[in-house]
Amino acid sequence: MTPTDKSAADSGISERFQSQLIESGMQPAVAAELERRIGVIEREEFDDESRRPLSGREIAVYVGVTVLAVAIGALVVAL
Amino acid sequence: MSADGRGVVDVTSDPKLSKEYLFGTFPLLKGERTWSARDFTWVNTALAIATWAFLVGGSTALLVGFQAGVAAMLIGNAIGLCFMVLASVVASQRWGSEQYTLLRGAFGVVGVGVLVFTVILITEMGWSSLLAVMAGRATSQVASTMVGADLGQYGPVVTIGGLLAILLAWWVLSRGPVTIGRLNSVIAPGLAVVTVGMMIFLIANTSWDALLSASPIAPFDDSALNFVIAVEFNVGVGVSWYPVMGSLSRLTRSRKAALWPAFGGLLIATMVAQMVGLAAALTLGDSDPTVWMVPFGGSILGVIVLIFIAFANITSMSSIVYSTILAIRQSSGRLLTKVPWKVLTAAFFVLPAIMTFFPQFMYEQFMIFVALSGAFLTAVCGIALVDYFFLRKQRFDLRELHLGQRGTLYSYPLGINWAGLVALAAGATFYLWIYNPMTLETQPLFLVISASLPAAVVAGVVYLVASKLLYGKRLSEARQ
Repeated sequence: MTPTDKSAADSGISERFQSQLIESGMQPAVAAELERRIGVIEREEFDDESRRPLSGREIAVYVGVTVLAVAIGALVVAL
Repeated sequence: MSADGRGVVDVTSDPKLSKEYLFGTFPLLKGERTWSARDFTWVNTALAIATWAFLVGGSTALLVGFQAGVAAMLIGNAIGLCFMVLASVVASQRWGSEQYTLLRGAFGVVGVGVLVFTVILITEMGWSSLLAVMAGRATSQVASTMVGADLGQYGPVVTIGGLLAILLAWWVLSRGPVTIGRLNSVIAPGLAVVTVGMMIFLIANTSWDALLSASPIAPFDDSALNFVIAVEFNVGVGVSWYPVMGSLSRLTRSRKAALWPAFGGLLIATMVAQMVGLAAALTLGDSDPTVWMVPFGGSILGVIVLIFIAFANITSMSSIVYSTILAIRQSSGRLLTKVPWKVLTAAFFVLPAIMTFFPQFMYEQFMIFVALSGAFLTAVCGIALVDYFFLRKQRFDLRELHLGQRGTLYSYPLGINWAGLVALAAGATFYLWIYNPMTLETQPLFLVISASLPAAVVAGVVYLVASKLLYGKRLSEARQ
């Protein structure tokens, strides 16, 4: 797919999305703003640090801290 | 209306967009997600250090002494917060959306409505009622000090004070999230200082030895059972943050600003406030500062602290009701979107207002309320966690989420994903089988694995299996 084709496809998705929202009773201005926001998230913010998923390491550290808190609690009650 | 370099549009210039921005489901953009880790820590502190934490500490004292109580609080809150944060905060931070929109994949549009109008609504009405009654008790104690007569802990002044607190909370709510945030930024640090002061005051008026040697107030014969029930109760408290955390964490700047302040902020602030309640219950015989603050702290200091506590309850109420009303609005389809915000918030407060006429009932049923809401919320957390991390691999299609039944990815027959609702029922049933908080019957296994964590696992596994069986093909397509 060329950049022009992709742009046209994106535009089609965008229009279809807005018309479906308007059909469901959403005000056109609200539907347009919602589509604009999703577009920004998909295109401009896609690679932004704040939009990255939680990594396996981050999850492991997080769960590890919880296990440590539980272990400290067990130690307090055991002493 | 124009966009700046960060894609942010001044939506406040258009009344329709402004309303939707404040009270709707617009996914937030980078420029709008302004909370740093420190900001979010304060928000969580404001929520966690609310006066319900004193009551949790006092309820823990029914079963265990100070040392075991602190251990039970640490273990219980750490476990409960761990999976609650993973189930709500992580996804909402990444996608900038509140958790009820993101739950459409797990429950379907109508299924989320069922969840919100039952589990979430009842839970949040219960907490609001309790906060109103606590504010009422503070009012009654202040009035007693002023007139020099005992007006009672459950008398008519409590009801009047509770109703007044609800009226003020409604006023704050009607002003929107900005006012709530401003009030929180004043109340939270103040309440943190007051809570630490109360702890120092308690130790100064008793002693460490008295605190450490104090016996639990009404324990069972089996000390292991006492400890596990105390842990379980605190897991329920940790999980009880689920209904509000997604709406808040979407405002944070990064994963680090969301994850650690949610877990650590809630854990530490909750622990400090609960320890005050635990220590007060063990040494003074009552966890509620509205009862002991004036007799022990003197009338001037006591009244000042009680007025502060009453205001803290009002801001806590506003914060939790704001998130709940957002959820109700989103989940009702077109039914409630045209109902004015002020009317919706007023309607929410009807039941809590009625409950202020029965203040004793709210206090006496507190532990059962926390455990029962925990039974359902742990199951919801288990399902949300499996849905986000295992089935959807941390990916959502935002357009499809907002299309709901009109789309393809998150559309289900009658709008209900039965895999989610069946898993919810399975998780809650397992919880109530292994530990029934109403009859206090437990299975032998309860002493080893407690109830909340295994209930979340049961709900998650049932959801995973049922989803693969019912929608395996669709899930594979969505991941491509």
